[in-house]
Amino acid sequence: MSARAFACALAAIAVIGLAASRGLTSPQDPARSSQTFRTGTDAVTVDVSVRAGGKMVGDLSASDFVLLDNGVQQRIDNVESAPMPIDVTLVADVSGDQRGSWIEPEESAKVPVNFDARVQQIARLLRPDDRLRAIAVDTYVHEVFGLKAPSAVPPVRAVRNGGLSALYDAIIAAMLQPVGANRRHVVLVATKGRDTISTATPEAIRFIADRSDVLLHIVTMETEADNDVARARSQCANQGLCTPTRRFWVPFTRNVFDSTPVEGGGFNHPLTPAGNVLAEASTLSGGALHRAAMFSSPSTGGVFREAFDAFRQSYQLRYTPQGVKREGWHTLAVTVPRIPDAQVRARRGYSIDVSPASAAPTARPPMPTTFDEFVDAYTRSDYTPVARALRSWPDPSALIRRLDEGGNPWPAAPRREAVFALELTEAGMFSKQPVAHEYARRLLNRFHRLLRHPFEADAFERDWLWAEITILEGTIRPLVTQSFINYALERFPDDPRFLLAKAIATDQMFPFIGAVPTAAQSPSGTATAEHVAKVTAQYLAVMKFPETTPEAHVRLGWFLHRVGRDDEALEQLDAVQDASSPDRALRYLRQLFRGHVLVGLGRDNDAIAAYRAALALWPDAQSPQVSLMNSLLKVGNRAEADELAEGIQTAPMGTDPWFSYWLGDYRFYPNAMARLREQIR
Amino acid sequence: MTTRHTFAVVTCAALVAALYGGRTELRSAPQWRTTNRSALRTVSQEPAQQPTFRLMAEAVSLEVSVRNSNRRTYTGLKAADFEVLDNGVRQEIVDVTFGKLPIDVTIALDVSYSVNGAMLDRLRRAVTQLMRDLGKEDRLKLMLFNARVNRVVDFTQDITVVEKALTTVAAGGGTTVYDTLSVAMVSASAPDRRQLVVCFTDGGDSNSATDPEVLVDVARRTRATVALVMPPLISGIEVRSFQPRTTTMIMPSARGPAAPLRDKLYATVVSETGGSRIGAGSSADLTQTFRAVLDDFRSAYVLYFRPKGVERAGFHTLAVKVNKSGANVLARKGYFGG
Repeated sequence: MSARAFACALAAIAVIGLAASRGLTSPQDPARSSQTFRTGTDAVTVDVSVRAGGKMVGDLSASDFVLLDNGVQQRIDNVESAPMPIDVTLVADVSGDQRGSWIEPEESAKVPVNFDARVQQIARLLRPDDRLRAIAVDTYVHEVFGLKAPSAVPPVRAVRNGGLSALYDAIIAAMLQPVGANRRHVVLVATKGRDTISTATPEAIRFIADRSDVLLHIVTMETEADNDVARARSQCANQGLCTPTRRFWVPFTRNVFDSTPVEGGGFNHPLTPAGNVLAEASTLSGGALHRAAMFSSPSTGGVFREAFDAFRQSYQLRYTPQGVKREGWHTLAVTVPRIPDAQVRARRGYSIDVSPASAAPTARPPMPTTFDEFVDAYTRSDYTPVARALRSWPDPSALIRRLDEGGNPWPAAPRREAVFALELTEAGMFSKQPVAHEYARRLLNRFHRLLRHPFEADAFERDWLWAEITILEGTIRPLVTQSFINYALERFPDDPRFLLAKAIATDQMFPFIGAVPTAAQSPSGTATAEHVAKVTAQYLAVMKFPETTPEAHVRLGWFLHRVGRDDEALEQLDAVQDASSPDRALRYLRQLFRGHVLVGLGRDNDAIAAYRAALALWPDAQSPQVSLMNSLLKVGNRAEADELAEGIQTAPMGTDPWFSYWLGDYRFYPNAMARLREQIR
Repeated sequence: MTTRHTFAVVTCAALVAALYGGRTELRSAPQWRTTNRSALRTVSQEPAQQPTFRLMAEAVSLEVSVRNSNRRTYTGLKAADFEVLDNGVRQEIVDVTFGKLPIDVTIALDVSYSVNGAMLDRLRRAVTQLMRDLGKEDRLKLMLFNARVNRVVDFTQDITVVEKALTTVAAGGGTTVYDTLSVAMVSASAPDRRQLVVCFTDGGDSNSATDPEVLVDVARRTRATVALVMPPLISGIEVRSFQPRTTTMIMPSARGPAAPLRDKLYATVVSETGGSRIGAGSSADLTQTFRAVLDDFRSAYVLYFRPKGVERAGFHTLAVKVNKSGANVLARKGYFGG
């Protein structure tokens, strides 16, 4: 493996995907957007803090450390102890009490005050070249402010709060934030210790903590949790409000610890299994899970201070792995033999995925035949066999269910899962099995929530929704499609493609082809006036966007032709010129449609010219040949009509955009998926 | 251009015929043909776009089926037994033939997604048998269509070629019934042979570029007789073009007639061409169905008349009567004059 490839492999351990799904994004240089062990060429760096006798130990050199990589001692090339600027992400849990809504008004006012106090406290601990960002988490993850120098940290005056707690999602979102070169990242989490809505699991946090370069400290605010419990008990006893008036439906509650009342007052706080996993995750990152209670130590501020101090006084060991296989998991062990009682804190290992670039050339992989093989292929970014296999998969239901119920096969790469879900969805939506349609729809809805960017709708979500809509348009189930388009428009109200998709879905309502009659078609089989007006208005609305103007004109023109308004149809089709769109298929369709409209207007020779123009744009298309043949026959040019008839029957298989016209913008699905797959990497 | 093409151009340009609308009391349909080869050669020197009625020798041929209520053909009819009205003007029938002209049969099989499995197997057997039933001068052409219109065997008398082609048939994709019918009617133009187009389809059209009214127009301007053999439209079928998988609906074609309108369209097309539409149940004996279609077509009279007392150009509405009580007469409804 070349040094470059190895660096790529190291970069592959970065897990950046969730930034688009749950976390934050910032318009940074992509090269800076991955979290890795910082590498020179083949180098690995490890942060190590050493504490002895309650104090940090300084002045250590390379010879003081023993570092084992997969049990093989490594030669430490360099040790740096110079403080490195840090980026701090504060994650503050501002969720409400899911047991009832009555306590929230009382608490709401305090939330921004307490939040601001925490923020200012941390800002004071930072150095001028450090930066701080703040994230609040309730049902969603909100960025309160982005990375700011300590002196520029704004006062927090308002924080949306209440609702459920997406704690795990927020932690992952924070861990996956891009980190600038020569900076370190510390994530501080203050939580009541309860998660009720996350799609991520504690295991996913552990997985990412294992593989990222972030230092994770979690502070469970046990007092706040206790207050919730005590308040609920009091209200039950004094007010009879023992059955919560649920404001939210809480599907499950995953506690980091239990608040178990003990005899004589107070609470025990044993860690739950999920809490143990979180504790392990933070330890893996070099941080810890801290338990903070009122009048107890550590306090939140104390934890933060300790974290920063430890981090600043840590050593950065750099070595070039020797005697170990590069790919795969590397267990690290760091000791300082000359200080027997030293507490050495360092990450426990790292992983290097086999990147496509580093893999040796192999024969073309076979088509996947099991879910695991699909996952393996996708892990290798081997998308083509996946897509091919899914296209001929008899019933994708089982695959969809496996993904839906089995969790993310790539816990550290939620984007990969999201794109994989679309691959399965496409297979499901086009399956012969109706049940597969239902599974596919359910999967899409689930990923809506997973992909919902916490702060503002982002490019990945937009692209994902676009790919989703292209699939749905292709199924020509407009009633189903419309609900998904409405969601996309809720997220991106001004996206021209989504607005156009809405018009197309409405257009698809006539002629009536589904099981449930719609208002689009009259009993006599014609389009209703209401439907015509609706479709027209929706296409007209999209025309103001340059991106969709030509297609809106062409589609409206064809629609008007279909409802017998050829004069207006021609106006629409002539409102755009061939040069107005780089889309050859669209230019072709415009001419083909003009031909049909001109036939409708009795202008047969003009129609013939239009068909010829369409044929020039798409020479192997069958439709303009047939249309031209028909028109030539009509004007008496039997010779050329005969020739065309002969040519049509004997022509080799070609493409024809007309064949996919009714599938809306499904023709863009391959491109949409290619774009998404690029964003997986 | 091939010899066949030249010949076709000559005759078609000279005598393009198709029907112009409306139900008549007696079903009739246009079929035209010149009876004078020397005249044809003369006509061939005219521009191809200058059609019809240039020469006195030109005549219109009209295929007429005459059956009793039991669908038995009346045989032995003479010219005097028929009455032909061209745009309401009675015409003199100059000749009548029965079973003399060779037949060109175009079989167009819908091999879209909606026609597959056992039905496809029965189709293979039926077409093979139809080939065996042809006369020694008759020929068969095989077209397969889904989204694409594809001639897999040109007119031939070689049954082995047809059998071999049928073994490779595979179903899938969308459907272009209208386009296929249009192409089949236009290309079935050999003037010295009778033309029968047998189209097997469930009728669902997803990809045609041919508008319904254009299809009717083509039916009127060409001379083939169209027989539609139609299994019931399968519900929940998939019709898709470049996505060869299923949906539960049918895409609308060019101007997308809904199902009732589509049925009306097919009825019009077969009526205009003097053909018939035959339902084929899921267990129908397709071999017998195809054989019946061929027998019906074979047992038709061909009447020849030289139009008199009518304008050459435009539509010529035809009406045919027979002096047999209770006879059912089936013929084209008209033709186009140049």
